[in-house]
Amino acid sequence: MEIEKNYDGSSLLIALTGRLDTLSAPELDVVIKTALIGVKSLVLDFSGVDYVSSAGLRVLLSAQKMMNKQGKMLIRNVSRDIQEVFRMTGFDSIFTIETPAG
Amino acid sequence: MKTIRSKILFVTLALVVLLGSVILFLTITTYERYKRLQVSDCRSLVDSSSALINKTILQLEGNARDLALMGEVYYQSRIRTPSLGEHIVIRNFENQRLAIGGGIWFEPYSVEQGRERVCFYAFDNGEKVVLDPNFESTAYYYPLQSWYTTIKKGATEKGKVVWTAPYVDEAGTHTLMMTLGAAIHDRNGRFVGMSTVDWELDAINRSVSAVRPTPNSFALFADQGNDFILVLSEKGVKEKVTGLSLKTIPWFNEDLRDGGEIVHNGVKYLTFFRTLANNMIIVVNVPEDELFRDINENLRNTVIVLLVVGALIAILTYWLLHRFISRPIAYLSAKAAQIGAGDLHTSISLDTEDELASLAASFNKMTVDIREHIQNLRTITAEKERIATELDVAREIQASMLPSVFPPFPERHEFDIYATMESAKEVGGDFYDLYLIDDDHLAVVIGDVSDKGIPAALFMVITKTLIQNYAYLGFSVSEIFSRVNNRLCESNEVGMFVTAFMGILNVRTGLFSYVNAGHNPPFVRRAGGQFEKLDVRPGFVLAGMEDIVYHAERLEMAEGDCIFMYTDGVTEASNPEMVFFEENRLEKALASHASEDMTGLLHGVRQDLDAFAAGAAQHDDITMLGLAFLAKKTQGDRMKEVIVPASVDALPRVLSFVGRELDSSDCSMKIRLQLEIAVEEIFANIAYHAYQDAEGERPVVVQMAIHPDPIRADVCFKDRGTPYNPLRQPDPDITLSAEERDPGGLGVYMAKKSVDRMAYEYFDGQNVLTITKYLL
Repeated sequence: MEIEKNYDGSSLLIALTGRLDTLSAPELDVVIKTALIGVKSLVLDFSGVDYVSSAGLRVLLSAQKMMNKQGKMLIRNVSRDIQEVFRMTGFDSIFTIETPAG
Repeated sequence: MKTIRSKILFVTLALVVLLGSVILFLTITTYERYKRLQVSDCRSLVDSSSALINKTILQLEGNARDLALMGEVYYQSRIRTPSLGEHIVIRNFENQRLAIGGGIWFEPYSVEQGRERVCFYAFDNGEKVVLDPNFESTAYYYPLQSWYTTIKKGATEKGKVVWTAPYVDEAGTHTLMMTLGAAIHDRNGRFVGMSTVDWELDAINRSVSAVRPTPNSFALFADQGNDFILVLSEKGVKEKVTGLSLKTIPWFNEDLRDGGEIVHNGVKYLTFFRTLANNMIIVVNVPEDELFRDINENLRNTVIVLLVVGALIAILTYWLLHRFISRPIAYLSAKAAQIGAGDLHTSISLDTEDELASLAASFNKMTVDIREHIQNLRTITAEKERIATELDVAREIQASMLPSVFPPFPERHEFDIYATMESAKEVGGDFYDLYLIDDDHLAVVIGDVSDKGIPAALFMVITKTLIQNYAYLGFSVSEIFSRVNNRLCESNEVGMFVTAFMGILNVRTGLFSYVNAGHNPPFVRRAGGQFEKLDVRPGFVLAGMEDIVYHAERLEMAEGDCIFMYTDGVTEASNPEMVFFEENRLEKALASHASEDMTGLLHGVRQDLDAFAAGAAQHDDITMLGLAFLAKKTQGDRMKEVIVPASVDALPRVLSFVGRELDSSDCSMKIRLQLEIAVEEIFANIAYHAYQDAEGERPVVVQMAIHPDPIRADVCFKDRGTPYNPLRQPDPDITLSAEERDPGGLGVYMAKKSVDRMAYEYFDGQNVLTITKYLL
């Protein structure tokens, strides 16, 4: 799993590539927990993510909870399959999701 | 002839005959009495005539004696003047006039010397009594006359009267007469003369002839001592025959007696016989026919009248009874037959007011009632037919709910299964069920609802459906029953309950896990052995009480083992003597058909049961299910297995194993993704939780097989960790906000959502979780 962070003031863009699964989720969890201090706007780019497991969802949930306190969080470029996972688990109503155009 | 008419006729005739007999008896008695009276009249007549004659005879004899006494007085007196003698005889004769004459006669020369004949004789010349002076001088020499010698010879003692034979007087009247006399003695008792009295018989004869009780009667008057007939008044015979001997009379014989009967010239006579003084007799013969003619005629008339009147009474009675009873009954009978033939609009009218009229009224009421009743019946029958039709439909629906196509899984060769149910009523409370929960698990259920009919059928449908639903959800047998029990209790208003037995056979391992809810324990036969009752925990019935804990038990079935399940309709089937079939007979029946397959076994038991019942009515549903485990499921060629430690580090190996297997199928990326999610979530769950407290080896076996038709993937996870059924974990509430969401439980939920089936069992110390995903 590749994690690419781009700060722009208080905004943070994290581009993810690979599988967000049981193995990689703890890695993301550490990154997020350390990188989110002072961040008011978090954008997660999922264009490279082809898989999310429940462990991934739990990391995303804790990020959402933090961002709810200090700003906002956006997940964009979510593929249809991932979108389906969000919908199945009820996370589609918790996250702000931006699906790719077209 | 058993008709009322003939009975009436019979009774009438019997009455008339009885009455006629009584009257006839009385008549005959009276007739006999009249006859006796008639005879007694005759006898009185004869008696009075005889008495008259007898009196005459006795008086004549007395007269003869008196005259003899006066002769002696004359003889012994000193003055024997002729005038004295004349005076004596005239005076004597004047005193009595029965005789025609009488006198006293002395022996020659006994009265005076030189005077030969002294006699005095007086007679009635028709005007007065005169003396006959001729006898002393005339040529009629009296001492030699027969009457004188007869009397002289017979009168041997004083007072004895002697009678001469009847003779015709040639000296005087020339009529038939008899002379009687007595001796005259002197002082020394020497015979010196006699007295005579002449009795002319004409008067007597006339009076005898007059004894005629009937016109053709005739009398006989005879001097028996001299065998001389004085008179015979028989018609056709010369009047007053005299002088004949009695011996010449043909009908006169020694047997003749008073009150007897004789037959003379073909006529029957009643005879009256009287013996008079001086041995004289009177016989009066009266023709019986004449005597009884009147009363015979009366009797005949009476009988005729009786017959006519009796016949009239009989005819009248018969006609009346026929008119008032027999004819109305015949009419009623005809009308009743008409009603019986179905004409319910017939009305009976009898113009009387007797019992038959009320019977007719009853008939009319009955007709109306029947008409109404038939109308009601028609409505009810239509209703019943409707209900019966609906029941038929219900039975068909029920029957279609039970698997009835055998073999049910023709492509499966691991087991042989057969089941039958026969309802006692249209719809019964028994049921059985069999289905494959997944490729490896065959569920069999048998049950009996505690009632019959539609309610039981409905309850049975609910029960069966609930069991099936929970079975498909992957619950263990004990869990299925616990849940089904609670669900049934929730909505069991009518208080029904169900006994049921359920088993799930793992066709791969032969493990048969089962649970019992108050049902008859099944019989089990080990390969090559005998059927034996399975040792089963009884368990409480379903729908009886909430929160019952059911305990699953296990049976390792080897190839060739079989299990026979049944309801109590089998063991409680009874024969006509109300003897139950019982378990021992069932065991024998099972033993005798043990060599056959399940179809043959159940049919054989059924035949034995029918033979035992011998046509007795079936009281309960008869349900049987036989299951034989034939062969363990072969491990398919495409079955693959990987054994990894229970650690998330092994996840890539597991996923790549699954991915490799999936490569052989043309499944979509979406399906692949979903299966990967499920595998990852389950494996992560096992890795994190299964061996929490354990040390040493922590193996997880992951097996995978692709099955065709419809193409699907089975992935099985086995671990030897803490028993844990992830299916019992409650689903997370996915409608909550981010702050409220609990991060736990999400993995299993995702896994469950991502596959088509998930089943769990704990077997042989292992948690076995199997997921199935259709690859199309």
